[in-house]
Amino acid sequence: MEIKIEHLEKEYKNHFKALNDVNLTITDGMFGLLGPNGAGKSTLMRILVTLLKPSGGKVYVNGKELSENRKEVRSMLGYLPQDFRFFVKLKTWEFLDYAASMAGMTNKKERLKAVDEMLESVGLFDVRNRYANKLSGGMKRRLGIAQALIGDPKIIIVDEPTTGLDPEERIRFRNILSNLSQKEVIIILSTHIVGDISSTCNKMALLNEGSVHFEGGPEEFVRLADGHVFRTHVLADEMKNINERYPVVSSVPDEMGYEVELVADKLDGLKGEVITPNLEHAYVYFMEYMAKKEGATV
Amino acid sequence: MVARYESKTLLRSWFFRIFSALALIIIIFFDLFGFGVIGGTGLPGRLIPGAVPYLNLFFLNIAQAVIAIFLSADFLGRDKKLDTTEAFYIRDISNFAYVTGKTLGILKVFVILNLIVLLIGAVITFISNDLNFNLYTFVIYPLLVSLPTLVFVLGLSFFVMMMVRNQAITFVLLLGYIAVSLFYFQYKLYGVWDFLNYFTPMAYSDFTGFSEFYTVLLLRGAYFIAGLFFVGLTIALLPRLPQEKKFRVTTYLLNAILLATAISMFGLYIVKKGSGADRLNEVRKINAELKDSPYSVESYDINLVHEGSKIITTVVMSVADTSDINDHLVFALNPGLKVESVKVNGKNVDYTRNLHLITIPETALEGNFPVDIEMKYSGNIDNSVMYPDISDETRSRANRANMSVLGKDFAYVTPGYVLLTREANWYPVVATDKYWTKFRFSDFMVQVKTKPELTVIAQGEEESPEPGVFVFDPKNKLNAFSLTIGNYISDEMEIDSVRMRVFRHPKHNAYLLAFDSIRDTIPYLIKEMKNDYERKLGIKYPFDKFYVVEAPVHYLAYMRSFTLATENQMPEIVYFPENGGGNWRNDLNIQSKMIESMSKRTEEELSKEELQVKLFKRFIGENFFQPTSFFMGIRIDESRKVDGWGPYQVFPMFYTYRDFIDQKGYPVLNIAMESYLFSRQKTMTRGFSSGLNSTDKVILSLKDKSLNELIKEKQEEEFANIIAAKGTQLFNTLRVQTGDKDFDGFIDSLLAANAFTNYSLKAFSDDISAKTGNDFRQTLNTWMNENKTAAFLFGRADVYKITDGDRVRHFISLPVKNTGEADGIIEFMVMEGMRGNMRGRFRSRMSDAEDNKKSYLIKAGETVEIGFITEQEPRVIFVNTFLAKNIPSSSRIFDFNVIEKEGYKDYFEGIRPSKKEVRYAEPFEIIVDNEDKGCEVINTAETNSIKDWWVNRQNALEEDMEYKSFRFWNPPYKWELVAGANFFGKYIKSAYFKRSGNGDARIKWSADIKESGDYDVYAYLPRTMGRGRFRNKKKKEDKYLFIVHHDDGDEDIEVTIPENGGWELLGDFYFSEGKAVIELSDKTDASMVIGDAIKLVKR
Repeated sequence: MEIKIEHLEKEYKNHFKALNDVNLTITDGMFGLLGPNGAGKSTLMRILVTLLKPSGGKVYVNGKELSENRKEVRSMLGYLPQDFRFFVKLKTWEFLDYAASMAGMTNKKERLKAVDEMLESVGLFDVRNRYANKLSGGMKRRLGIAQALIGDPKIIIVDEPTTGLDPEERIRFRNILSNLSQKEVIIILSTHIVGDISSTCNKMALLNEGSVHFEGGPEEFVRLADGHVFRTHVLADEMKNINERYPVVSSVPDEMGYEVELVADKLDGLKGEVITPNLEHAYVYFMEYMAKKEGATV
Repeated sequence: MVARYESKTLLRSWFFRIFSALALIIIIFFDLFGFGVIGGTGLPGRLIPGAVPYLNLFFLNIAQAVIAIFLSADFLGRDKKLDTTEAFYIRDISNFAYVTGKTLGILKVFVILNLIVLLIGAVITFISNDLNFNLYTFVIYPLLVSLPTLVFVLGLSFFVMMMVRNQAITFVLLLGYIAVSLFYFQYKLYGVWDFLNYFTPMAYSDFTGFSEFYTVLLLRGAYFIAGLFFVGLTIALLPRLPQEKKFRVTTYLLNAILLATAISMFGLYIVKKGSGADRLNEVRKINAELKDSPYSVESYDINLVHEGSKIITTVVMSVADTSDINDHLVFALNPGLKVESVKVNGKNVDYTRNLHLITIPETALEGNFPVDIEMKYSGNIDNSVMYPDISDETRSRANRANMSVLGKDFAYVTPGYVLLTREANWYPVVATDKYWTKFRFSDFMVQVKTKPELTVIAQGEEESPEPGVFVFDPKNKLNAFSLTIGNYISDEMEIDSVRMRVFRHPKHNAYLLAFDSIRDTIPYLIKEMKNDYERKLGIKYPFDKFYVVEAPVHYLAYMRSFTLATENQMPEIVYFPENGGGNWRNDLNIQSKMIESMSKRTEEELSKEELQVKLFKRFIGENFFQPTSFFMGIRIDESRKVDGWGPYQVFPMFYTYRDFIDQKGYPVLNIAMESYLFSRQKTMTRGFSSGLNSTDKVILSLKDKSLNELIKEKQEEEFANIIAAKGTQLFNTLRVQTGDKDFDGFIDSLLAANAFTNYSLKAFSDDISAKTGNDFRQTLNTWMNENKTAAFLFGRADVYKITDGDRVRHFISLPVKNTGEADGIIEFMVMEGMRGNMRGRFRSRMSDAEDNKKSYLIKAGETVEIGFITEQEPRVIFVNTFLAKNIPSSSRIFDFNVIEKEGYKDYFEGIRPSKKEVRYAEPFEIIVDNEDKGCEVINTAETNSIKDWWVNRQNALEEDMEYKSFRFWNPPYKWELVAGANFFGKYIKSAYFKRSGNGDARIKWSADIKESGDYDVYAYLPRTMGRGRFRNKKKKEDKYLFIVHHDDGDEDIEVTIPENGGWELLGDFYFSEGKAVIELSDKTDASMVIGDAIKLVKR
């Protein structure tokens, strides 16, 4: 499986340019799409799932142009929209059954079997007879992913799946996704939560203001911040000053004041040790320094 | 799948559940009570064939249209939110499949709802003992009523929701659309707007099925297709990227096809209806140009073959020329019938045809009359040009039997049923000026051939030489001939050598069941009623047979202004709608229950036979002898304008189909004669309503105009009542001139001698003149052109006890003065005896009073004394002043001046000149009535609330009337005039009334004081109907506030409203010469104020 995005543009009616010359190649496995709110992640995803029409550029799925072959592409898709909270008045299993039938499973027996298996795998089997709109937030999200996964889609697209979930649910959710990435499928995960990507994705892209600023493996991305993450101690009254000058990733109070982790190109007149960056550091470094340089792409 | 889950979701939606549960509960109750399963009530239309599925779906249809609007808007509303939809939109399903799936899902649920309702209906049908189950109706109604409306409403609401993208606005728009179509569009453009099926005729007949089935199908189909189009449009506009490349092309093509189909169906419907309207207008135009024709048809020899939806006819007519003028001969024949040939004395002639008119040039008519004219024609009847004299407004109104909308069929020629009356013009008549108002007599001989299994019904002696062939040979000439062919069975009996038969559909046996216990008694009952009627009318039934024939419910006959006969009555035959035509008075089961409960209330034990006898008398009496008309439970005046009043009464057989006074132009004299005879069998209106009767309305509209002037300027429908009232006046005048009993007998013998002939105006005038000694032509001329009227003033009625031998009797003396410019007549009727049990014995007392009826002629300027002698103390005198200035024309006098003087000798019965002065006001009195110049009303700028507007709208019918109805339940917000017997007035008994207010609105009476001095001031406070019930509940006595402006200042005087009405003293005041002003404020605790008159009496 391969998705190739070439010179993709999207301009909305109000002339807001959500995507600007996006080029990406996505292959099997889990692909993370990182970027701040409003970066164009959702727009990109909605184009990929055939909900939106691009204003320019092309998307090829296995070499086939998307807008010319919607039917074929749709038969391979599974999609969990960003704000997936409203459910019709159907029971959990019925809802999934409905989704399965929409995904082209016409044989009733097979479909019901698949529904049960899916419910089992997302841990909703016990509540299968409960009305979907009566499920808890996490359960609803799991039902959401279940409906996206049912019918063995080859391309799974999940938009901001972990927003608003408690840590336990979030881990559970990531696990479901990672299990899937063993299969020969493309999973595209859009998020602004760095942790989602670091724990699951083998490939990622960073989207900012409609353009791809980075494309590659997460380690590669982290390496960009090498030597730019510092740990230092500051006194309480210096803290304000620090906050103004540097993007602070974390600050932990201690007896002397604070232990602060911050990113910077150079540390001027401050003592501090260079530490090994993680994805979060890299993201902050990238957003604060590299992205601000005009047209910066790596 | 989409459909399955959509219906599942819908079924689980509480809104839907509650709404449909509510609808079902209402329908169950409606069915149980409405179809007479429980209780003594029932829907008027319940007995119409197929009424159960029809009315159920009729109701459900409107309810479910509303539900569907809410739901479908909700369904797309859901789609708009970021919910499940997007996850589904990315699936491999086409937009088409998705939207149709959703639509089908919703439809499925409604189909279930419909099925439940139909099931309930079926159960009800089986429980009830007088409803017939007809499977066809249970299948066709959901398809014809529910389905198109549902699909249309769903499609439309999807589409609107898609366009406006706001649920609330969508609701408002669509509910608004429903309201507009129900209240504004209604029948506009032939009812094409009626997507709810509220105005479209959908009733079913066991004889002919649906009325205009294909037209209805066209309209319903158009809505179905239009619904599909909107669904298609929804598919095209669905906010989802289409799946297929050719999507746009295919959907737009599909939609274009659907739209084109729908539009052309609507268009076809309008064109179909409209072409009829065009032809009708053309017919009207041609009819207006017709000239008086000298020809008349002496005899018809008709040979008719009924074949499928066609009649093939050969008519041979013997045509006479009644004058020496030779002119071309014009016949009228229904334009649906195609003429094949016309022969004069066996020779083919050239003729021209213009719609209904066939013109034979004078050159083709050979000199020697009568000539034989043979005409061959075939085809069907064009319904749309019938009744050209009936206004478009009346024609467009739905023919409703309560909720059921009936068709408006005027004639039938179908393979299984034929109904042709005179108005169908199925045989040619001479198209003289206003030919449709002229019922001229001719000989008839009719032979009919049809399918052997069908029955043929027509006038005259009948014979059936072989199955399917019938020959009719009426003994007398007839002025109308009707033909009925259908699947009938009949019951028969002979009474007074009249052959009576009832023809009914084999399925209709409600009548048999209702009278099963009195079958042997029925002939006696009919005989009794017949004799009673003949005695009252003074005319014997002139035919050898009397048939009552069930006609399809859709068969409609309009009431015409020029006759009391409708096309429901033909000579010898009354067409009675099948199963009673949806009139509750003909619902025998319900009526029988009502009689039963009534007798329980009066603790009267009724055996089954007695009950059935009562029911029979009521049923026959109400339909065939003396129909009454009710409006909101109040009996209203019989009138030529009342729609659907008395269309089955037998009266026309005694005059209209027996006699005809032939007059050029509009048959005024014939109408007058008809009204005069009709009034003989009318019992006097007993219940006094506060409003005006038709005579009073005539007086008001006559004003200072003569009949001739009115005929020229008014619409036919309006002047018919005037002619009728004037006719009664004319004949009563003649009657008084010749002497009561004698005159009636004379008229009867005249009519009998001229029965079944065309009685010319000249012959009639000569006969009348010979009798009265006055030149009738002169009288007629005055009657037509006179614009002056009499005006009567009544004095106080004195009552004396007189001894006549051993008997003590009562003498009443009533002075009357005719102050008008013309002679006038008054009719009196005295009721005697004490007030007893009014209810039970009223009828018999009434007939006693009928014998005390006397009429007198009082010349202009004359004062007379009218004397009556009664056995018992008089209770009330009914006075009828006919067309004098007095309003109301019929009133009552109860206020007697009982003089306890022994040995009064100056008694008499009848009329004698009097020297007594009859004055409106005594010389020492000053009266200012609301009709006088000195009275004015002051209205305030009180805000017109929506309620006022609504109340006004409801009374819109009265808008251009000077005197309104007295609405004590809903008085007007500004002063309005009202007339009635309870009010005071010189000639017009009237008053102003208004609802209570804050005191700003007033009535002001200004009296001219010629002489300064002390005056007693009185105000007339009329007795009002329903006052007890409608007055303020907190206080026992309501008061009116009068303000007297006298020399020493202004004084407020509160007066208690008296129980019986009359003059109330306000006090004595000093007024100097000039104007004395008394005002009545609208401030009161009562719900309304009535201001009538004030009186000042010099001390």
